[in-house]
Amino acid sequence: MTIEKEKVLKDLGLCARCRQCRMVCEVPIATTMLPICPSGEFYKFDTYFASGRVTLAKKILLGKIDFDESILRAVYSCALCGSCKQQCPILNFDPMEATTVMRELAVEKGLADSIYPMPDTTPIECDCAACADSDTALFVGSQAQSDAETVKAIATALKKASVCFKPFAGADAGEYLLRKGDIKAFSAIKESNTAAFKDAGIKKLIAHDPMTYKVLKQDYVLDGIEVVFYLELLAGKVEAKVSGVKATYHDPSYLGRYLGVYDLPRAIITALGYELVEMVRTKENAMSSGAFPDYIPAVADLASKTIIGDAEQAGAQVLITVGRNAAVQLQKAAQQLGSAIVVKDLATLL
Amino acid sequence: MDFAERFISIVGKKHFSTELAVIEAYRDTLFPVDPEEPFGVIMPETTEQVVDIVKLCNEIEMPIVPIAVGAPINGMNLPVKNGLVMDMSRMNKIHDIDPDTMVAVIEPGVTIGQMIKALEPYNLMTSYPNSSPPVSVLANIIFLKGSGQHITKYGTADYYLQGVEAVLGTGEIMKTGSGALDSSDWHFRYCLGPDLSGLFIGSLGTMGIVTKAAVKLAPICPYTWSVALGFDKIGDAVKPINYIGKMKMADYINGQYWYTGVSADTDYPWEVTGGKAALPLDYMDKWRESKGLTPVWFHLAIEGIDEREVAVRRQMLEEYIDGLGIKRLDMSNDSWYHVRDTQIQGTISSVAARFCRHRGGGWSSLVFIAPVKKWGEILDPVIEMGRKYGFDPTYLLKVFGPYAHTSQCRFVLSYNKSDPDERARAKKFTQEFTQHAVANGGVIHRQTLQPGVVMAHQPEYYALLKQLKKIVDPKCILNRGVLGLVPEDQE
Repeated sequence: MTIEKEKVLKDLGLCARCRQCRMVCEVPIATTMLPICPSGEFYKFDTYFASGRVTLAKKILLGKIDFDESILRAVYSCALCGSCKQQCPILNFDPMEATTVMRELAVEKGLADSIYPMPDTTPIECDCAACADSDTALFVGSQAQSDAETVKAIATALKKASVCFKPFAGADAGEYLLRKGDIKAFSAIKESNTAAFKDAGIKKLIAHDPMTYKVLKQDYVLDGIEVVFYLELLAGKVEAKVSGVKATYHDPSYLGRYLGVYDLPRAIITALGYELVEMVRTKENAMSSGAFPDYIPAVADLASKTIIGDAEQAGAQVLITVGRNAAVQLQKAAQQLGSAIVVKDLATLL
Repeated sequence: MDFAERFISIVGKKHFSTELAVIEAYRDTLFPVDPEEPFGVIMPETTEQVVDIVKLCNEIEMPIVPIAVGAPINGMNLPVKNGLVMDMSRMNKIHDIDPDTMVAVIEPGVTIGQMIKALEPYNLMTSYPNSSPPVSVLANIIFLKGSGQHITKYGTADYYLQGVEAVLGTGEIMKTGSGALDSSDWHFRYCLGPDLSGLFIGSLGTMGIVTKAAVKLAPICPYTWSVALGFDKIGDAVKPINYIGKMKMADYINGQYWYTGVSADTDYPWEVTGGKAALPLDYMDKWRESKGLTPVWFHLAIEGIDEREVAVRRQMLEEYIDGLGIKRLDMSNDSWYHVRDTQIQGTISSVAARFCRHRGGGWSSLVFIAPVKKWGEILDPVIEMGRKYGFDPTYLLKVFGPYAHTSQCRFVLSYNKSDPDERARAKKFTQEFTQHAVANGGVIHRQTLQPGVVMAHQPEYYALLKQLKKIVDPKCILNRGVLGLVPEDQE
């Protein structure tokens, strides 16, 4: 068991039940008080907000209750988008710890498989070699994160920007095992990949998907290997392609709240010639699109429709995001709403 | 059709649940008590749905505990065994904002943040507690006899109440004030005979479930001036603070220990608690002394719609303060201090948000109402009592207006809920605190703490309340027993 029960209970005890995890609570007030938690907004009961999950986690750890179907649903309906942590006023406290701990326990008890839809982690096949002997590698990843077409577009953009790299294909970073709470299986993939990186002589690893980037950067320990996001290598190397088009940018949770990358995509969008307008929920306070293949479609639909509404309110003609999953989910929402907004993955605009 | 199916037929499957995850999330409080296991949780969206729920609960004799937004964090409306928790957070509509009559009509799920945002274009505010933005506005104005920014200026937050729409225990809809005659016109709190809005103030949902209320609005005054006054002990502050209040020299008069300062200090050393909820008893004293501050301090502020108004009153206040030689504290470099200025203007500060951090998940706000002249005799023993039980002496004093008639004395008790010893001490402190306050003429602000103690002091008063309860809720299904209001024939 990896969970330090006493420490976790102490951490969760910090929750003051102030409910600020429910909505944007920062100043200025004109842009605040908007709902921010996808699952809470969908289900409405306190159970599905961070505060409710904290209560459930404490009771489970104290042995007062045990998992049943409803608790598993509460646990796996969290998008792990980090919005609650962003809004929480309590220092040194991450409300998502309740979710991650309960997921680990669910896996340990053999209960997670019944509710967690493990995405397709078949590796993407991508013929995108640029420099076979380079010590820089593009982590191609799996179908769960992206597709061959998107990776090819990114590889082409990198080549155009004179970035020398080779593909690191055939592996998944274990993102979804981590989200599931299967720490043991994730650790095995992590060790395997880390060894493979070293065997391949990789010094720099390029991630092209926000979630993979977060996992490689924060959850792997890669001594001597620099992990970068592909957009970093394109900064200052993008030419204008449009003019007079109003675009807004949706911050993916893993790139924004987890890693603090807010300005880079905006700079590239501006360099492409778009006139950037901001949505009311933006940057740290962005609503998650719920665009994860392991997530509840109905909740993701509600969240992404909210984003489309915000984009329309901002007067945007184009909604740009980073990552195939977010782009697909937002496109679906725009179609369902009959919105005229065009949704694009930034990778396809380069 | 079983009970659950009948509730679902009223609100839909999505908004009623008997699932373990839902029951247990609501069966929680920061208060040192263990809530009972309810039958289910329901989230109505309309008054009509509330009516149907109450009628059904009457038929099946199922107790209802209404809660404003989310979960009962402060032990006010706790779930009861086999009862129904009614979460009002879906009833969050602002029906009307009338800037001419200065009234807004809102539902109980409307939050402070929602209201501030809605009123911003009008440069208006209503009464908000110093709480987090997602807290219910009405919960403060009606249910708790709450405080707020204008407590010194106008008195308790229910000053802002212009009338309610409530569903009685019978399922009947009752309206009070001018809204009873014309539900589109809530300009006056009174209608015919006694003030029936008062039936719901502080009733914690025992007399009816408030589904709508009209609240007064006030202008946000853009001009303010504030000063911090230092005293060596509370007794020294009594006469001058009482006089300032009586003469209306200040619109905000709050006194407190340095807890908020320490709590808002970003360099706050968490490790000094040694894993316990309370700070070492001398920690705040050292913190204060390092800044050259007095043991007791008061924050006074004046507001005005015109800078000339503020200037004149400031001159009067300064002449009085300086005439008595009262020490002024320089806190211009303490960012958390300025939060008070933003709070009084009805805005939210991200710094203020940090005030709500408490250690160990146990939190209890113990409040009694007592006149300013009694501070010395009532407060000093409570501070000692807190120290005896090992808790921070974290008091907050608010002078009630309009003329300093009385005051709110609040103790914030932070404790580690998972520590049985701290939990037991918190419970004992709560009991002793209540007995002490009542014995000295204090009114317990949150009667849920100890109905028995209050009942023993006021038996006739309780008998009358029980009779009223029987009229509006004959089967006693509304928040049954929370104030000890179960009729004798149903006990």
